[in-house]
Formats: sequence, structure tokens, C-alpha cells
Amino acid sequence: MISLLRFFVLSLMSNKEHVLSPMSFGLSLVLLLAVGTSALPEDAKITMYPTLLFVIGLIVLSWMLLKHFHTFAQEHTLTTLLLHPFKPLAIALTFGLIILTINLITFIGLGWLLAAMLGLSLTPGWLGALTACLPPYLLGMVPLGVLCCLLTTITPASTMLFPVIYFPLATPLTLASIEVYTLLWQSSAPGIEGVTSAITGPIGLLILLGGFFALLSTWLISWALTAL
Amino acid sequence: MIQSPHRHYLIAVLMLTGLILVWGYGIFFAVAEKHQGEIYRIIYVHVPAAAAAFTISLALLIQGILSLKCPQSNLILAGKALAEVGLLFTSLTLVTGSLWGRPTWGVWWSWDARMTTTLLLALLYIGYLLLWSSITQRDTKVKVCGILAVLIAVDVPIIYQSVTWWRTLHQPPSLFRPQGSTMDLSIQLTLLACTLMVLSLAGWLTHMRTHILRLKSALEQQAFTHFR
Repeated sequence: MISLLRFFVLSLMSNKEHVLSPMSFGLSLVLLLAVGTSALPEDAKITMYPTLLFVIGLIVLSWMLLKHFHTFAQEHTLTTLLLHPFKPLAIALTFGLIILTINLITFIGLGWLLAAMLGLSLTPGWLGALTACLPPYLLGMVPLGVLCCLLTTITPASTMLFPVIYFPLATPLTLASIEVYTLLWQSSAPGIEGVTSAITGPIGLLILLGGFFALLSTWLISWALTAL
Repeated sequence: MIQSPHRHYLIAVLMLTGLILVWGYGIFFAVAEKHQGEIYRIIYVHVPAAAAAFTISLALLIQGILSLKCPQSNLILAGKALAEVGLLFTSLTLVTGSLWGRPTWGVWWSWDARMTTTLLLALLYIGYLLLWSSITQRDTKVKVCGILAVLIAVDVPIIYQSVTWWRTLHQPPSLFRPQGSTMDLSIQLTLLACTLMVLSLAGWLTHMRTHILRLKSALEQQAFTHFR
């Protein structure tokens, strides 16, 4: 596992643009949205903020996954890796773990930047709320993304097909995360103390969907690897 | 391999007659609903179409699992036929839902959880068809489309539960409830007849489409052998 982690980290270091270009694209989106919504009242910005953040995060995550898989496919790294003494599933999961970690950091960074650019006076709870709903969200999203990449990489039009398959599948989980984040964030605002009972249902749903997509995708990844 | 066209004409006439009878009864003779009046009669098209779209995704799931287990079977053509018919009935569900929504909710479309997740099902069927056409190798196509079929089926319980999981304009389930149905028995029976008829139509359309795809494939094979 450590050798695999080392391999993927080194691969990332030698292909820094795969991480940096989606991140800079995310930054450009943040700037565009900040300029485009500058005339809106703060209430509207607060309502829009969680959705905008998760949409930007989803685009960054998708692009990052696609860039990696394209390079892997072009360099025949995936097929070479399948000859690795480790099981192919372990390879896919290790890769997923790295992408998950990078995205966790990216999401929080983009969240802070977007809020700052929109001029929102964020309460101290926003970071806690975001950190609370990101692990189940990314736990489901990353294996699902890896699976969709595996399914589309072998096609000639993978760049076009990937979002057609990934975005509809990712939407329920993204909607659940946006709802949890909005509720957690609002509940941490001054005047409302603690997590209200209304939040437990959406949190349960997010964990359920995240866990379900993680398990299902992991099981299907082992099938998808045999198709390569 | 080529079956008598007379049998197909006979089944087509029977299907058409059955549909005219059940829909005719639902539109002209069934009792009116006390709250919505006459507009509710669109239920006899909308609900059976949705039932057909969901049943087809279940059939696609079974086809996908069987294809993954036995890649040599000729089920891959049935997968394409199922996705095409599934897309047809999902589109019909969306159109009739929109027509029903205008007089009852005052809008043609709302980004409501039920409507959005149903739209996602249509997008997933489109994704399946695009993926199916973009892969040329048969074995790869069987595996990749089989995996996507499993993922498409996941959307159906999400669509069904969306009215309880998220805030939505769409009414909660009125047929399958722990406290019993809220519908009048005569409406339930008419709806059941319409659903059975539309399911038969979906089954027949899938069978016909698979038959056409098999003939097309056999002709292509013959042409390939002839010109080689």
C-alpha cells in the first residue's frame, strides 16, 4: 500500500498541472461568480453560497479525475498497474484516497475564498459545517468518479461522456450535501444554538447515500477493471 | 430467425385496442376526483408511464447483471432496446407531469426533487445509449454497459423516496403507504388496468426493438462475410 501511495504521489508531483489546472479553473469560477453576483443582496448570496460551492467543487473534482485517467490511459499506466502484485482494486482505492484528500483541501480552500469574494460575513461554524459534510460526500463521490472514469476512458469520446454519466449519478449526493451544509451552517449562526433536530434526518441521508455509493462503486470498480 | 409479420400486426392491433379501451374508460367514464376535478385524468397516462420507466430500469439491471455473469450471451442488444424504450417512457412521464403541473401547481416545470431525479433518469438512459454506441469491442461493451445498468437502477429508489427525503412540490406517495391508499377503489382499479396495459406495451416495444437490432446485426454480419 505504501509503495502504491508513493507511486501515485510521485505521479502527481510529476504531473502537477493535473491538480493545479482544475484548481485554477475553480478560482476563475469563484472570481466570475463574485463579479457576476456583486449587485445581489447579502441574503441572496448566503442562500446561493452552498450550491455554488458544491457545483464548483464538483467541476474541479471531475476535471481532476479526468486529467489523471487520460494520462494513465495515454501512458498505458493503468494496464501496467494491473500487473502490479497488489490487487487492481487496491490500486483504484489508493488512487481514490489521494484524490479524496486533495479535494478535501481544495473544497475548504474554495469555500473560504468564495465566501470572502462574495463578501459574506461567515460565522465561525462555516468551516466546521463544511468539514462535517465533506467526508461522507467525498467518500461517495470519489469512488463513483473513479468508476465513471474507468467506464469512459476506453471510449474515444471520454471527455464528453464522463459528465453525461457522472453528473446525473452525482446529483442526489450533491443535493443531500448542499442541504446538510446549509442547515449546519445556518444552525451555527448567532441566535440559533446547537444542531437542531431538523438536521439529523438530512445528515442520516447524506451518510446513507455516501456509504451506499462508496460500497456500490467499489464493488463495480473490480468489474470495470476487467474491462480494460 | 425472421418471424411472420402477421403475428406482429396482430399483437400491435391487440395492444392498440387495449390501450384505447383502458385510456378511453379512464378519460370518459371513470369517476372525477373531488379536489382536482377532470384534470386528474392525466394520472392514467402519467403513472403508468412512470411505472414502465421504472420497470424498464429494473429489467435493465437484471440484463446488466446477467451480461456481467455470462458475457457470451446475446443480451447486449436487449440492453440497448431497453434503454431506448426506457427513455421513451421517462420522457412521456416528464411531459405528462409537466402538463399536469401547469393547472395544479401553476408552473410547467419546477426544480422539485421528484421531477429533477426523473430528469436524471432520462439523462442516464441517454448516457447509456451514448456509451453503447461509442464502444466498438463487444466484450468491453457488455461489461461497461452492464455496470452502467446497475448504476441506473440506483436512481429509481432515489426517485421514489425523493418526495419524503427532500422538500418538494410533488405529492407524497398516495398508493403504497403504510396507512393504506388515499385513492378511491374505482380509480385504483382503472389505474391498475392502464398500468398493466402500458407495461405490456413497453414489453412488446422492447421485444420488437431487440428483434430489429438482432436482424440488423445478422445482416451486418452477412455483409461482412460476403465482402471479405
